Amino acid sequence: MGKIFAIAKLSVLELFRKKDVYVAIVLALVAIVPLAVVNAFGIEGAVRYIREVALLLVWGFSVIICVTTSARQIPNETQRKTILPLLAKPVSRAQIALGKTLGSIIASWGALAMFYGCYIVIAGLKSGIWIEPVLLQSVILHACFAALACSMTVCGSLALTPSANITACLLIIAGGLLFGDHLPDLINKAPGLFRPPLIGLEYVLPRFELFDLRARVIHSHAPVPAGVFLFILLYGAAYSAVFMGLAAGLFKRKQY
Amino acid sequence: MIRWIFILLWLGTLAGGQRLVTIRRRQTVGGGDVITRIFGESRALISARMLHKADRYFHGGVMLDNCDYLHGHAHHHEHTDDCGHGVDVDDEALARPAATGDDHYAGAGWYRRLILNTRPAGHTHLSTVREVKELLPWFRLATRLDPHNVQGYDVGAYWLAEKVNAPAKALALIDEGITHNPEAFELALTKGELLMETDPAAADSALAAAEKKWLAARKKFEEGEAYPPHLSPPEFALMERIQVYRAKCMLDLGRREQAIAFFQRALAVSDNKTALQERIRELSSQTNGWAPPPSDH
Repeated sequence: MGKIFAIAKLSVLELFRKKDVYVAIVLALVAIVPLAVVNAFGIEGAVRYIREVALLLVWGFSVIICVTTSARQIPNETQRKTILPLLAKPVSRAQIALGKTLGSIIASWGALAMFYGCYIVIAGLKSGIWIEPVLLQSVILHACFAALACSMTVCGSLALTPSANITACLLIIAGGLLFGDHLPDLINKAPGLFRPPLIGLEYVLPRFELFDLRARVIHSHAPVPAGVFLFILLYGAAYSAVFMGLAAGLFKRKQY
Repeated sequence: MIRWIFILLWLGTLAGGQRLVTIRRRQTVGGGDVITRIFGESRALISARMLHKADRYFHGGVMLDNCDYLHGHAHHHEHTDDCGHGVDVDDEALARPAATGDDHYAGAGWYRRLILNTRPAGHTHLSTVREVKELLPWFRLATRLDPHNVQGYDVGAYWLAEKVNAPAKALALIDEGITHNPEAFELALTKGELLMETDPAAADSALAAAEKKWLAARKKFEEGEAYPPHLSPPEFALMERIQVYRAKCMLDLGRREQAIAFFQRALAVSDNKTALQERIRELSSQTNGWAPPPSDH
Protein backbone atom coordinates (compact mmCIF):
# COMPACT_ATOMS: atom_id res chain seq x y z
CA MET A 1 0.00 0.00 0.00
CA GLY A 2 2.90 2.34 0.85
CA LYS A 3 4.29 1.92 -2.66
CA ILE A 4 0.92 2.78 -4.20
CA PHE A 5 0.71 5.97 -2.12
CA ALA A 6 4.29 6.93 -3.02
CA ILE A 7 3.42 6.73 -6.73
CA ALA A 8 0.15 8.57 -6.09
CA LYS A 9 1.99 11.38 -4.29
CA LEU A 10 4.14 11.99 -7.36
CA SER A 11 1.03 12.34 -9.54
CA VAL A 12 -0.54 14.83 -7.14
CA LEU A 13 2.59 16.96 -7.03
CA GLU A 14 2.73 16.93 -10.81
CA LEU A 15 -0.82 18.29 -11.17
CA PHE A 16 -0.26 21.21 -8.81
CA ARG A 17 3.15 21.91 -10.35
CA LYS A 18 1.56 22.24 -13.77
CA LYS A 19 -0.89 24.86 -12.42
CA ASP A 20 -3.90 23.63 -14.43
CA VAL A 21 -6.09 23.88 -11.35
CA TYR A 22 -5.18 27.48 -10.67
CA VAL A 23 -6.02 28.48 -14.23
CA ALA A 24 -9.40 26.75 -13.91
CA ILE A 25 -10.13 28.51 -10.62
CA VAL A 26 -9.19 31.93 -12.02
CA LEU A 27 -11.42 31.33 -15.07
CA ALA A 28 -14.31 30.26 -12.84
CA LEU A 29 -13.89 33.32 -10.62
CA VAL A 30 -13.75 35.63 -13.64
CA ALA A 31 -17.10 34.22 -14.73
CA ILE A 32 -18.82 34.06 -11.34
CA VAL A 33 -17.75 37.20 -9.47
CA PRO A 34 -19.24 39.74 -11.93
CA LEU A 35 -22.47 37.69 -11.96
CA ALA A 36 -22.57 37.68 -8.17
CA VAL A 37 -22.19 41.45 -8.00
CA VAL A 38 -24.90 42.29 -10.54
CA ASN A 39 -28.54 42.37 -9.39
CA ALA A 40 -31.27 41.90 -11.98
CA PHE A 41 -33.48 45.03 -12.14
CA GLY A 42 -31.47 46.39 -9.20
CA ILE A 43 -33.34 44.06 -6.85
CA GLU A 44 -31.24 42.08 -4.39
CA GLY A 45 -32.01 38.64 -3.07
CA ALA A 46 -31.64 36.25 -6.01
CA VAL A 47 -29.02 33.58 -5.29
CA ARG A 48 -30.11 30.45 -7.12
CA TYR A 49 -28.80 31.66 -10.47
CA ILE A 50 -25.36 32.17 -8.90
CA ARG A 51 -25.49 28.66 -7.49
CA GLU A 52 -26.52 27.34 -10.90
CA VAL A 53 -23.75 29.05 -12.84
CA ALA A 54 -21.09 28.35 -10.20
CA LEU A 55 -21.97 24.67 -9.90
CA LEU A 56 -22.07 24.32 -13.67
CA LEU A 57 -18.53 25.71 -13.84
CA VAL A 58 -17.38 23.54 -10.93
CA TRP A 59 -18.69 20.43 -12.70
CA GLY A 60 -17.37 21.47 -16.11
CA PHE A 61 -13.88 22.25 -14.87
CA SER A 62 -13.76 19.17 -12.64
CA VAL A 63 -14.60 16.92 -15.60
CA ILE A 64 -11.84 18.53 -17.66
CA ILE A 65 -9.29 18.25 -14.84
CA CYS A 66 -10.22 14.63 -14.02
CA VAL A 67 -9.93 13.52 -17.63
CA THR A 68 -6.86 15.47 -18.68
CA THR A 69 -4.94 14.63 -15.48
CA SER A 70 -5.73 10.91 -15.62
CA ALA A 71 -5.25 10.56 -19.35
CA ARG A 72 -1.63 11.66 -19.24
CA GLN A 73 -0.47 9.72 -16.16
CA ILE A 74 0.89 6.58 -17.85
CA PRO A 75 1.30 7.87 -21.46
CA ASN A 76 3.53 10.73 -20.22
CA GLU A 77 5.76 8.30 -18.33
CA THR A 78 5.97 6.17 -21.47
CA GLN A 79 6.70 9.13 -23.71
CA ARG A 80 9.49 10.44 -21.43
CA LYS A 81 10.79 6.88 -21.00
CA THR A 82 10.64 7.34 -17.20
CA ILE A 83 8.35 4.31 -17.10
CA LEU A 84 11.38 2.02 -17.53
CA PRO A 85 13.21 3.00 -14.29
CA LEU A 86 9.81 2.87 -12.55
CA LEU A 87 9.23 -0.68 -13.78
CA ALA A 88 12.76 -1.62 -12.70
CA LYS A 89 11.90 -0.74 -9.10
CA PRO A 90 10.46 -3.39 -6.78
CA VAL A 91 6.85 -2.51 -7.51
CA SER A 92 4.36 -4.61 -9.43
CA ARG A 93 2.67 -3.28 -12.56
CA ALA A 94 -0.67 -3.48 -10.79
CA GLN A 95 0.70 -1.26 -8.01
CA ILE A 96 1.91 1.29 -10.57
CA ALA A 97 -1.47 1.35 -12.32
CA LEU A 98 -3.30 1.66 -8.99
CA GLY A 99 -0.87 4.32 -7.77
CA LYS A 100 -1.32 6.37 -10.93
CA THR A 101 -5.12 6.09 -10.67
CA LEU A 102 -5.10 6.97 -6.99
CA GLY A 103 -2.79 9.92 -7.68
CA SER A 104 -5.12 11.35 -10.28
CA ILE A 105 -8.11 10.78 -7.96
CA ILE A 106 -6.44 12.59 -5.06
CA ALA A 107 -5.33 15.41 -7.35
CA SER A 108 -8.89 15.76 -8.67
CA TRP A 109 -10.21 15.80 -5.10
CA GLY A 110 -7.74 18.57 -4.28
CA ALA A 111 -9.01 20.58 -7.23
CA LEU A 112 -12.61 19.86 -6.17
CA ALA A 113 -11.87 21.07 -2.64
CA MET A 114 -10.59 24.36 -4.06
CA PHE A 115 -13.57 24.75 -6.41
CA TYR A 116 -16.12 24.05 -3.68
CA GLY A 117 -14.25 26.34 -1.29
CA CYS A 118 -14.70 29.20 -3.78
CA TYR A 119 -18.32 28.19 -4.39
CA ILE A 120 -19.18 28.12 -0.69
CA VAL A 121 -17.63 31.56 -0.13
CA ILE A 122 -19.38 33.20 -3.12
CA ALA A 123 -22.80 31.56 -2.58
CA GLY A 124 -22.53 32.06 1.17
CA LEU A 125 -21.71 35.76 0.88
CA LYS A 126 -24.64 36.24 -1.50
CA SER A 127 -27.25 34.17 0.38
CA GLY A 128 -26.04 34.06 3.98
CA ILE A 129 -26.41 30.25 3.91
CA TRP A 130 -23.06 28.52 4.08
CA ILE A 131 -23.18 24.71 4.15
CA GLU A 132 -26.47 22.82 3.86
CA PRO A 133 -26.66 19.03 4.35
CA VAL A 134 -27.61 18.55 0.71
CA LEU A 135 -24.46 20.43 -0.34
CA LEU A 136 -22.33 18.06 1.73
CA GLN A 137 -24.00 15.09 0.04
CA SER A 138 -23.46 16.73 -3.32
CA VAL A 139 -19.73 17.26 -2.64
CA ILE A 140 -19.27 13.65 -1.50
CA LEU A 141 -21.07 12.26 -4.56
CA HIS A 142 -19.07 14.61 -6.77
CA ALA A 143 -15.86 13.21 -5.24
CA CYS A 144 -17.14 9.70 -5.95
CA PHE A 145 -17.88 10.78 -9.52
CA ALA A 146 -14.32 12.14 -9.83
CA ALA A 147 -12.90 8.79 -8.66
CA LEU A 148 -14.99 6.95 -11.23
CA ALA A 149 -14.08 9.36 -14.05
CA CYS A 150 -10.35 9.13 -13.21
CA SER A 151 -10.41 5.32 -13.04
CA MET A 152 -12.21 5.10 -16.36
CA THR A 153 -9.77 7.51 -18.01
CA VAL A 154 -6.63 5.77 -16.67
CA CYS A 155 -8.08 2.49 -17.91
CA GLY A 156 -8.78 4.07 -21.31
CA SER A 157 -5.24 5.49 -21.49
CA LEU A 158 -3.91 1.92 -21.55
CA ALA A 159 -6.10 0.90 -24.46
CA LEU A 160 -6.30 4.05 -26.62
CA THR A 161 -4.01 6.83 -27.80
CA PRO A 162 -4.06 9.88 -25.46
CA SER A 163 -6.09 12.11 -27.78
CA ALA A 164 -8.61 9.36 -28.58
CA ASN A 165 -8.91 8.52 -24.88
CA ILE A 166 -9.50 12.13 -23.85
CA THR A 167 -12.11 12.64 -26.58
CA ALA A 168 -13.90 9.37 -25.80
CA CYS A 169 -13.92 9.94 -22.04
CA LEU A 170 -15.11 13.56 -22.35
CA LEU A 171 -17.89 12.46 -24.70
CA ILE A 172 -19.00 9.60 -22.46
CA ILE A 173 -18.93 11.68 -19.28
CA ALA A 174 -20.50 14.83 -20.76
CA GLY A 175 -23.05 12.74 -22.65
CA GLY A 176 -23.94 10.88 -19.45
CA LEU A 177 -24.30 14.06 -17.41
CA LEU A 178 -26.30 15.90 -20.07
CA PHE A 179 -28.44 13.14 -21.57
CA GLY A 180 -28.17 10.22 -19.14
CA ASP A 181 -31.61 10.99 -17.70
CA HIS A 182 -33.11 10.67 -21.17
CA LEU A 183 -31.38 7.44 -22.23
CA PRO A 184 -34.21 5.12 -21.07
CA ASP A 185 -36.72 7.35 -22.85
CA LEU A 186 -34.53 7.32 -25.96
CA ILE A 187 -34.46 3.51 -25.86
CA ASN A 188 -38.25 3.35 -25.62
CA LYS A 189 -38.65 5.61 -28.65
CA ALA A 190 -35.78 4.21 -30.77
CA PRO A 191 -36.54 2.10 -33.86
CA GLY A 192 -35.96 -1.66 -33.45
CA LEU A 193 -32.50 -1.70 -35.04
CA PHE A 194 -31.03 0.91 -32.70
CA ARG A 195 -32.48 -0.49 -29.48
CA PRO A 196 -29.97 -3.31 -28.72
CA PRO A 197 -26.86 -1.04 -28.86
CA LEU A 198 -28.63 1.60 -26.77
CA ILE A 199 -29.68 -1.01 -24.19
CA GLY A 200 -26.06 -2.23 -24.20
CA LEU A 201 -24.88 1.32 -23.48
CA GLU A 202 -27.44 1.65 -20.69
CA TYR A 203 -26.11 -1.42 -18.88
CA VAL A 204 -22.37 -1.13 -19.64
CA LEU A 205 -21.66 2.57 -19.15
CA PRO A 206 -21.64 4.01 -15.64
CA ARG A 207 -24.60 6.33 -14.98
CA PHE A 208 -22.72 9.53 -14.24
CA GLU A 209 -25.93 11.54 -13.86
CA LEU A 210 -26.73 9.76 -10.59
CA PHE A 211 -23.87 11.62 -8.88
CA ASP A 212 -25.17 15.03 -9.91
CA LEU A 213 -27.21 16.62 -7.10
CA ARG A 214 -26.90 20.17 -8.46
CA ALA A 215 -30.63 20.68 -8.93
CA ARG A 216 -31.31 19.77 -5.29
CA VAL A 217 -28.55 22.10 -4.08
CA ILE A 218 -29.61 25.02 -6.27
CA HIS A 219 -33.24 24.87 -5.15
CA SER A 220 -32.43 24.05 -1.49
CA HIS A 221 -34.24 20.71 -1.46
CA ALA A 222 -33.96 18.20 1.35
CA PRO A 223 -31.00 15.81 1.35
CA VAL A 224 -31.22 12.55 -0.58
CA PRO A 225 -32.45 9.60 1.57
CA ALA A 226 -29.53 7.90 3.31
CA GLY A 227 -30.17 4.54 1.64
CA VAL A 228 -30.13 6.04 -1.84
CA PHE A 229 -27.03 8.09 -1.03
CA LEU A 230 -25.12 5.02 0.21
CA PHE A 231 -26.27 2.95 -2.75
CA ILE A 232 -24.92 5.56 -5.21
CA LEU A 233 -21.63 5.69 -3.29
CA LEU A 234 -21.31 1.91 -3.47
CA TYR A 235 -22.28 1.98 -7.14
CA GLY A 236 -19.50 4.49 -7.86
CA ALA A 237 -16.97 2.56 -5.75
CA ALA A 238 -17.84 -0.72 -7.50
CA TYR A 239 -17.48 0.80 -10.98
CA SER A 240 -14.18 2.47 -9.98
CA ALA A 241 -12.88 -0.86 -8.68
CA VAL A 242 -13.82 -2.56 -11.95
CA PHE A 243 -11.97 0.09 -13.98
CA MET A 244 -8.93 -0.08 -11.67
CA GLY A 245 -8.87 -3.86 -12.05
CA LEU A 246 -9.12 -3.54 -15.81
CA ALA A 247 -6.32 -0.96 -15.83
CA ALA A 248 -4.08 -3.25 -13.76
CA GLY A 249 -4.82 -6.14 -16.13
CA LEU A 250 -4.14 -4.07 -19.25
CA PHE A 251 -0.92 -2.62 -17.81
CA LYS A 252 0.38 -6.10 -16.98
CA ARG A 253 0.08 -7.08 -20.65
CA LYS A 254 1.69 -3.89 -21.94
CA GLN A 255 5.04 -4.45 -23.73
CA TYR A 256 7.91 -1.95 -23.18
CA MET B 1 -6.07 54.66 -64.02
CA ILE B 2 -7.26 51.04 -63.77
CA ARG B 3 -5.47 50.77 -60.45
CA TRP B 4 -7.49 53.73 -59.08
CA ILE B 5 -10.74 52.25 -60.35
CA PHE B 6 -9.92 49.03 -58.49
CA ILE B 7 -9.06 50.95 -55.32
CA LEU B 8 -12.33 52.91 -55.54
CA LEU B 9 -14.31 49.74 -56.19
CA TRP B 10 -12.62 48.04 -53.25
CA LEU B 11 -13.34 51.00 -50.93
CA GLY B 12 -16.94 51.15 -52.18
CA THR B 13 -17.45 47.44 -51.54
CA LEU B 14 -15.95 47.79 -48.08
CA ALA B 15 -18.16 50.76 -47.21
CA GLY B 16 -21.26 49.06 -48.65
CA GLY B 17 -20.57 45.89 -46.74
CA GLN B 18 -20.10 47.81 -43.52
CA ARG B 19 -23.38 49.65 -44.16
CA LEU B 20 -25.22 46.37 -44.73
CA VAL B 21 -23.78 44.92 -41.53
CA THR B 22 -24.90 48.01 -39.61
CA ILE B 23 -28.43 47.90 -41.07
CA ARG B 24 -28.72 44.17 -40.38
CA ARG B 25 -27.52 44.67 -36.83
CA ARG B 26 -30.05 47.43 -36.22
CA GLN B 27 -32.84 45.27 -37.61
CA THR B 28 -32.08 42.19 -35.59
CA VAL B 29 -30.58 43.38 -32.37
CA GLY B 30 -32.22 46.47 -31.08
CA GLY B 31 -29.33 46.90 -28.66
CA GLY B 32 -26.69 44.70 -27.07
CA ASP B 33 -24.08 44.43 -29.81
CA VAL B 34 -21.70 42.35 -27.69
CA ILE B 35 -24.44 39.81 -27.06
CA THR B 36 -25.15 39.51 -30.78
CA ARG B 37 -21.49 39.07 -31.57
CA ILE B 38 -21.23 36.28 -29.03
CA PHE B 39 -24.48 34.44 -29.65
CA GLY B 40 -25.48 35.49 -33.17
CA GLU B 41 -28.94 34.43 -34.27
CA SER B 42 -29.02 31.65 -31.70
CA ARG B 43 -29.74 34.24 -29.01
CA ALA B 44 -33.49 34.01 -29.67
CA LEU B 45 -33.42 30.29 -28.89
CA ILE B 46 -31.29 30.84 -25.81
CA SER B 47 -33.63 33.61 -24.71
CA ALA B 48 -36.63 31.27 -25.00
CA ARG B 49 -34.64 28.74 -23.00
CA MET B 50 -34.18 31.34 -20.26
CA LEU B 51 -37.96 31.59 -19.91
CA HIS B 52 -38.13 27.79 -19.59
CA LYS B 53 -35.51 28.10 -16.91
CA ALA B 54 -37.63 30.69 -15.09
CA ASP B 55 -40.55 28.25 -15.30
CA ARG B 56 -38.41 25.50 -13.83
CA TYR B 57 -37.27 27.78 -11.03
CA PHE B 58 -40.88 28.71 -10.37
CA HIS B 59 -41.58 25.01 -9.82
CA GLY B 60 -38.64 24.63 -7.41
CA GLY B 61 -36.38 23.03 -10.02
CA VAL B 62 -38.94 20.51 -11.27
CA MET B 63 -39.58 20.16 -15.00
CA LEU B 64 -43.33 20.33 -15.59
CA ASP B 65 -44.98 20.42 -18.99
CA ASN B 66 -48.60 20.72 -17.96
CA CYS B 67 -48.46 23.77 -15.71
CA ASP B 68 -48.20 27.16 -17.43
CA TYR B 69 -48.98 29.13 -14.31
CA LEU B 70 -45.88 31.31 -14.68
CA HIS B 71 -46.47 32.43 -18.28
CA GLY B 72 -50.23 32.15 -18.28
CA HIS B 73 -50.54 34.54 -15.39
CA ALA B 74 -49.79 37.73 -17.29
CA HIS B 75 -53.04 39.25 -18.64
CA HIS B 76 -55.17 36.72 -16.82
CA HIS B 77 -55.46 38.00 -13.30
CA GLU B 78 -58.94 39.08 -12.65
CA HIS B 79 -60.41 42.54 -12.45
CA THR B 80 -63.86 41.28 -11.67
CA ASP B 81 -64.55 43.96 -9.09
CA ASP B 82 -65.51 46.42 -11.80
CA CYS B 83 -65.20 44.56 -15.05
CA GLY B 84 -67.70 41.84 -14.47
CA HIS B 85 -65.49 39.20 -16.09
CA GLY B 86 -62.10 37.63 -15.75
CA VAL B 87 -60.29 34.37 -15.56
CA ASP B 88 -58.64 33.26 -12.39
CA VAL B 89 -55.67 31.21 -13.41
CA ASP B 90 -55.01 30.15 -9.82
CA ASP B 91 -58.18 28.09 -9.92
CA GLU B 92 -57.36 26.70 -13.35
CA ALA B 93 -53.90 25.66 -12.28
CA LEU B 94 -55.17 24.07 -9.13
CA ALA B 95 -57.92 22.25 -10.96
CA ARG B 96 -55.42 20.36 -13.11
CA PRO B 97 -54.06 17.01 -11.98
CA ALA B 98 -51.06 17.66 -9.76
CA ALA B 99 -47.97 16.94 -11.86
CA THR B 100 -44.73 16.18 -10.10
CA GLY B 101 -42.21 15.93 -12.92
CA ASP B 102 -41.84 12.13 -12.48
CA ASP B 103 -42.91 11.53 -16.07
CA HIS B 104 -39.57 12.86 -17.30
CA TYR B 105 -37.71 9.86 -15.95
CA ALA B 106 -38.22 6.48 -17.57
CA GLY B 107 -36.08 3.35 -17.31
CA ALA B 108 -35.73 0.28 -15.14
CA GLY B 109 -37.24 0.36 -11.64
CA TRP B 110 -33.96 0.65 -9.75
CA TYR B 111 -32.70 3.43 -12.01
CA ARG B 112 -35.98 5.34 -11.91
CA ARG B 113 -36.08 5.12 -8.12
CA LEU B 114 -32.51 6.40 -7.84
CA ILE B 115 -32.87 9.23 -10.33
CA LEU B 116 -36.16 10.39 -8.82
CA ASN B 117 -34.49 10.56 -5.43
CA THR B 118 -31.61 12.63 -6.71
CA ARG B 119 -33.75 15.19 -8.56
CA PRO B 120 -36.16 17.77 -7.14
CA ALA B 121 -39.71 16.43 -7.12
CA GLY B 122 -43.24 17.53 -6.22
CA HIS B 123 -45.47 20.24 -7.61
CA THR B 124 -44.68 23.44 -5.75
CA HIS B 125 -44.80 27.10 -6.78
CA LEU B 126 -42.50 29.80 -5.48
CA SER B 127 -44.73 32.11 -3.52
CA THR B 128 -42.92 34.45 -1.12
CA VAL B 129 -41.35 37.70 -2.33
CA ARG B 130 -37.89 36.36 -1.51
CA GLU B 131 -38.53 33.22 -3.56
CA VAL B 132 -40.05 35.03 -6.52
CA LYS B 133 -36.94 37.24 -6.75
CA GLU B 134 -35.12 34.10 -7.90
CA LEU B 135 -36.97 34.31 -11.22
CA LEU B 136 -35.89 37.85 -12.04
CA PRO B 137 -32.37 37.15 -13.36
CA TRP B 138 -33.84 34.80 -15.97
CA PHE B 139 -36.34 37.43 -17.19
CA ARG B 140 -33.52 39.97 -17.35
CA LEU B 141 -31.27 37.57 -19.28
CA ALA B 142 -34.09 36.53 -21.63
CA THR B 143 -34.89 40.12 -22.58
CA ARG B 144 -31.23 41.15 -22.83
CA LEU B 145 -30.43 38.22 -25.09
CA ASP B 146 -33.39 38.80 -27.35
CA PRO B 147 -35.05 42.22 -27.20
CA HIS B 148 -37.86 40.77 -29.35
CA ASN B 149 -38.82 38.28 -26.67
CA VAL B 150 -42.17 39.97 -26.01
CA GLN B 151 -43.26 37.26 -23.61
CA GLY B 152 -40.13 37.84 -21.54
CA TYR B 153 -41.03 41.52 -21.04
CA ASP B 154 -44.68 40.74 -20.47
CA VAL B 155 -44.27 37.96 -17.92
CA GLY B 156 -41.28 39.64 -16.26
CA ALA B 157 -43.25 42.86 -15.75
CA TYR B 158 -46.19 40.95 -14.28
CA TRP B 159 -44.01 39.21 -11.68
CA LEU B 160 -42.13 42.41 -10.87
CA ALA B 161 -45.32 44.36 -10.31
CA GLU B 162 -47.57 41.78 -8.69
CA LYS B 163 -45.23 39.58 -6.71
CA VAL B 164 -42.09 41.62 -5.98
CA ASN B 165 -44.08 44.81 -5.49
CA ALA B 166 -41.85 46.86 -7.78
CA PRO B 167 -44.35 48.51 -10.17
CA ALA B 168 -41.91 51.25 -11.23
CA LYS B 169 -39.36 48.66 -12.34
CA ALA B 170 -42.12 46.71 -14.08
CA LEU B 171 -43.13 49.84 -15.98
CA ALA B 172 -39.50 50.51 -16.92
CA LEU B 173 -39.21 46.95 -18.26
CA ILE B 174 -42.43 47.29 -20.26
CA ASP B 175 -41.28 50.64 -21.68
CA GLU B 176 -38.00 48.98 -22.72
CA GLY B 177 -40.03 46.23 -24.39
CA ILE B 178 -42.22 48.75 -26.20
CA THR B 179 -39.11 50.58 -27.46
CA HIS B 180 -37.78 47.36 -28.98
CA ASN B 181 -41.19 46.09 -30.13
CA PRO B 182 -43.30 49.12 -31.00
CA GLU B 183 -45.92 46.99 -32.75
CA ALA B 184 -46.51 44.62 -29.79
CA PHE B 185 -50.04 45.40 -28.59
CA GLU B 186 -49.76 43.01 -25.63
CA LEU B 187 -46.99 45.15 -24.11
CA ALA B 188 -49.13 48.28 -24.38
CA LEU B 189 -51.97 46.28 -22.81
CA THR B 190 -49.72 45.24 -19.93
CA LYS B 191 -48.63 48.85 -19.48
CA GLY B 192 -52.27 49.84 -19.26
CA GLU B 193 -52.92 47.10 -16.70
CA LEU B 194 -49.97 48.21 -14.60
CA LEU B 195 -51.18 51.83 -14.56
CA MET B 196 -54.87 51.10 -13.97
CA GLU B 197 -54.71 51.20 -10.18
CA THR B 198 -52.60 54.35 -9.85
CA ASP B 199 -53.21 56.50 -12.92
CA PRO B 200 -56.41 55.68 -14.87
CA ALA B 201 -55.83 58.47 -17.41
CA ALA B 202 -52.33 57.23 -18.31
CA ALA B 203 -53.64 53.67 -18.30
CA ASP B 204 -56.38 54.62 -20.77
CA SER B 205 -53.82 56.27 -23.00
CA ALA B 206 -51.67 53.09 -22.99
CA LEU B 207 -54.76 50.98 -23.64
CA ALA B 208 -55.77 53.25 -26.53
CA ALA B 209 -52.31 52.62 -28.01
CA ALA B 210 -52.82 48.88 -27.45
CA GLU B 211 -56.13 49.09 -29.30
CA LYS B 212 -54.57 50.87 -32.28
CA LYS B 213 -51.76 48.31 -32.44
CA TRP B 214 -54.26 45.46 -32.15
CA LEU B 215 -56.32 46.87 -35.04
CA ALA B 216 -53.21 47.26 -37.21
CA ALA B 217 -52.11 43.73 -36.37
CA ARG B 218 -55.59 42.36 -37.04
CA LYS B 219 -55.66 44.06 -40.44
CA LYS B 220 -52.32 42.48 -41.33
CA PHE B 221 -53.51 39.14 -40.03
CA GLU B 222 -56.76 39.17 -42.04
CA GLU B 223 -55.05 40.35 -45.21
CA GLY B 224 -52.62 37.44 -44.92
CA GLU B 225 -49.55 39.66 -44.67
CA ALA B 226 -46.38 38.32 -43.11
CA TYR B 227 -46.98 38.46 -39.37
CA PRO B 228 -43.98 38.78 -37.02
CA PRO B 229 -43.52 35.42 -35.27
CA HIS B 230 -42.57 37.01 -31.94
CA LEU B 231 -45.98 38.70 -31.60
CA SER B 232 -49.15 37.11 -30.23
CA PRO B 233 -51.96 36.61 -32.75
CA PRO B 234 -54.49 39.47 -32.45
CA GLU B 235 -57.28 37.46 -30.87
CA PHE B 236 -60.68 39.01 -30.12
CA ALA B 237 -60.36 38.01 -26.47
CA LEU B 238 -57.47 40.47 -26.12
CA MET B 239 -59.49 43.23 -27.78
CA GLU B 240 -62.33 42.47 -25.38
CA ARG B 241 -59.92 42.80 -22.48
CA ILE B 242 -58.61 46.13 -23.81
CA GLN B 243 -62.16 47.49 -24.04
CA VAL B 244 -63.14 46.24 -20.60
CA TYR B 245 -60.03 47.77 -19.04
CA ARG B 246 -60.72 51.06 -20.81
CA ALA B 247 -64.25 50.96 -19.42
CA LYS B 248 -62.81 50.45 -15.95
CA CYS B 249 -60.49 53.44 -16.43
CA MET B 250 -63.48 55.55 -17.50
CA LEU B 251 -65.38 54.49 -14.40
CA ASP B 252 -62.41 55.43 -12.24
CA LEU B 253 -62.33 58.83 -13.97
CA GLY B 254 -66.06 59.25 -13.36
CA ARG B 255 -67.03 59.05 -17.05
CA ARG B 256 -69.86 56.55 -16.86
CA GLU B 257 -71.23 57.17 -20.38
CA GLN B 258 -67.88 56.48 -21.98
CA ALA B 259 -67.49 53.39 -19.80
CA ILE B 260 -70.80 52.09 -21.16
CA ALA B 261 -69.60 52.75 -24.70
CA PHE B 262 -66.43 50.74 -24.07
CA PHE B 263 -68.43 47.91 -22.51
CA GLN B 264 -70.59 47.89 -25.66
CA ARG B 265 -67.47 47.62 -27.79
CA ALA B 266 -66.29 44.74 -25.64
CA LEU B 267 -69.71 43.14 -26.09
CA ALA B 268 -69.28 43.22 -29.87
CA VAL B 269 -66.21 40.98 -29.73
CA SER B 270 -67.03 38.94 -26.64
CA ASP B 271 -67.92 35.25 -26.45
CA ASN B 272 -69.37 35.61 -23.00
CA LYS B 273 -71.97 38.33 -23.44
CA THR B 274 -74.21 37.78 -20.41
CA ALA B 275 -71.95 39.34 -17.77
CA LEU B 276 -71.19 42.33 -19.97
CA GLN B 277 -74.87 42.91 -20.84
CA GLU B 278 -75.70 42.78 -17.16
CA ARG B 279 -72.95 45.34 -16.40
CA ILE B 280 -74.14 47.66 -19.19
CA ARG B 281 -77.73 47.42 -17.94
CA GLU B 282 -76.62 48.19 -14.42
CA LEU B 283 -74.59 51.24 -15.50
CA SER B 284 -77.30 52.48 -17.88
CA SER B 285 -79.85 52.48 -15.08
CA GLN B 286 -77.59 54.92 -13.21
CA THR B 287 -77.22 57.37 -16.15
CA ASN B 288 -79.68 59.75 -17.74
CA GLY B 289 -79.35 58.43 -21.21
CA TRP B 290 -77.11 57.15 -23.91
CA ALA B 291 -73.71 58.80 -24.48
CA PRO B 292 -71.74 58.84 -27.72
CA PRO B 293 -68.56 56.73 -27.92
CA PRO B 294 -65.30 58.51 -27.08
CA SER B 295 -63.90 60.66 -29.86
CA ASP B 296 -60.38 59.17 -30.06
CA HIS B 297 -61.48 56.28 -32.36
